[in-house]
Amino acid sequence: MMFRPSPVVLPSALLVVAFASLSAACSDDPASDAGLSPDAGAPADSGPAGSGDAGAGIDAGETADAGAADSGPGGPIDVVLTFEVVVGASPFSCAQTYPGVGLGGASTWTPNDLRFYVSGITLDDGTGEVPMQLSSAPDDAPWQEGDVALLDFEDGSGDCGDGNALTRAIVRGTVPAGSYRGLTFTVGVPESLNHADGTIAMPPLNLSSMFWSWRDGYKFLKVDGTTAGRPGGLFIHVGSTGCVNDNGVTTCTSSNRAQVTLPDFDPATNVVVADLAVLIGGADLEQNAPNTAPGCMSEPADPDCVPIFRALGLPTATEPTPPAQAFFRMR
Amino acid sequence: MTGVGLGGRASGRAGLGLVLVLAAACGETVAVRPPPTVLEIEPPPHFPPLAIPADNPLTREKAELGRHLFYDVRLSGNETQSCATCHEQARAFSDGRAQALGSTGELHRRSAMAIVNPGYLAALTWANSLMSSLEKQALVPMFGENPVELGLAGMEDELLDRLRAEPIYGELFRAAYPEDPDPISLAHVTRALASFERVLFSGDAPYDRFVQGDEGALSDSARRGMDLFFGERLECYHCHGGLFFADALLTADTPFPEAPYHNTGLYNVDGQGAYPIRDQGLKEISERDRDMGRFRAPTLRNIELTAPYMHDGSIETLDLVLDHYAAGGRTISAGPDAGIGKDSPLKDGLVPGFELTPGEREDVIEFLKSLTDRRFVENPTLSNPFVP
Repeated sequence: MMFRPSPVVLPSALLVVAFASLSAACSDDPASDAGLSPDAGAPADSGPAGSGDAGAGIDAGETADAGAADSGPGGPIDVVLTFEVVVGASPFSCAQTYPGVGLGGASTWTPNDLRFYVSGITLDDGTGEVPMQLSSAPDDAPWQEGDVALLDFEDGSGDCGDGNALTRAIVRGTVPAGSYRGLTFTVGVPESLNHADGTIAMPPLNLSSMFWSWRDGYKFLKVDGTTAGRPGGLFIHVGSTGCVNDNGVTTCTSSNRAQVTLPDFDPATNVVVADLAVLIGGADLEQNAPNTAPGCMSEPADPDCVPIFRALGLPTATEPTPPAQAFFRMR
Repeated sequence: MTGVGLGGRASGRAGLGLVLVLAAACGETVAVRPPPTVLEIEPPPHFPPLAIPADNPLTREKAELGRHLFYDVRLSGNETQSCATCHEQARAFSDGRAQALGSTGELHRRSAMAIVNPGYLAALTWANSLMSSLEKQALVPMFGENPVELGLAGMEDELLDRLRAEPIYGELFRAAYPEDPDPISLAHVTRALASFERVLFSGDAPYDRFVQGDEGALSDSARRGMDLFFGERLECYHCHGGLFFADALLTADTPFPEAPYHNTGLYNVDGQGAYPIRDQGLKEISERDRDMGRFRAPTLRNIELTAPYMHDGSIETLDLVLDHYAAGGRTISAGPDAGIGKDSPLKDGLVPGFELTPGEREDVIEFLKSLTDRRFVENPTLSNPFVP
């Protein structure tokens, strides 16, 4: 039985201050207390349990004024990572179109879909990377399973017809008591889950639109849209390729899992920003290389993938050692 | 009727079907089995035991549910196509087209494969070693987006709502999954489809009667053709061998099933063995250079009914197929696909070319026709249940 997320409406266009409840100590920044309250301008998150009001993200027993919480053991503390998608200076919305994108700023992008999986989220406590344990609370369960979370920015409006109104811009979980600065995560489904049977998988791994069945895996990143030159659709599907099945064990030569490191990220005050204009900035969005997938579907020989993979820090034959990814940054 | 779970295997009398028991000199006549009145879930007696996945035990009820789903246009996004649209029983579940056409009008690169004894295949589809089960393969036409086939991506909830709204499915799902209080699920849809496909047994061709002892079942011409087929001059049987005339064999007794793929020199566009970039076969999946132009050898059972031939339907007749193999690879003299297949350095070593007299050619084709199983294509228990 498919989980139905509760009707959380999180318009991604709104600037939502990332609020994370951390034991307040270690902070000589008085604004850190503000990090524990939602922005007054943002509508309260109506879905997730226990987080609808200021300080509600704080784990029971912890308060904003807790003392030096980086000393000594305490219970796990709640973390909410907020993701925003922008297109350059503009917030992303299915109801909008975005001129001046792509190679030479020559294209106008009309969104059809924008979703991606993240996994392996860690926060740096000064001594190393600490894995974030994702919440399995009822309001989180449709979007998070084990180490994997789905972010969903298509709300079914405009030309985003494949999706539905439900969106998800946060990842919720816990880390041990402490103070943290620095975030890492992987864009993708871990190898151990990537070839599993989606029809019996737990949400969010049971969504057929994220299946990549021909490759026996999932689309890690799905960014679909149209441009004037590609009215039939331009599909950016990133997933593992070069997979072979040897007696029931599948291995893939091209993992294609973008690694994101944001060393200064403070979960109390920062948000993760994904800039679509950066992802597609180097791509010719008006033409498709002949005899290749419409857009980039991670084919190694597809020249349309080169600029997109570069933005994700993923290797291609043309550029086997790209610079670190630039799609994600922090604010 | 009560479901009979078969657990790990369906029994067959003959053990591993790779051993061909050719007719003894007894000359008995093996009667054509009458058409079944009840969906048969056991393979023909001379077949090896069927491999059944542990998480999808085979029952008649599941296969019957799968049969309904197979023929139901609700299984497409726009409700214009069912699996049967591209897999017509009269054509041994192929569609007669060089390239299949999807529900939204997108043309596939490849030809819809015939569905013949698919439960005995270690890998499905033309050239994808990852498609190791019928359950997994079903997701591709249902949810694939490049090309759109049935076009259900993102619509699984709507699909299930459609099925719930049709009372017959309440009965069929409950019968198939009696212990599940909410049996209408995507997982059950794919498993039921797979169960129906598993019982698409084709083992009643004249050739089958011949191997079971009826020497009269094959004409003299077909017998000569058979000898050529299984001989070292033509080498057909190396890839199209065994009881299933294919070489990706899966049975209950194959713990390490192999799915070989072959480059037959159908194309050689660069003189180095390359296939056209629009379709390079297994290499597209594995990213291994050696898999350039490699495709699975499909079954030749019912091949008379499943023209045109090859992964892209680019060979129209069995005569032209024989030309291709006799030449040791196809020559395309002009156009973007021009090339001399027989000179391909990537060509399988067992496609060397051969001489074939006109009479021998006729004999081989007669033999291939003896693999046509009329009982299979006319079996009413495999037909469209929605048509009276």
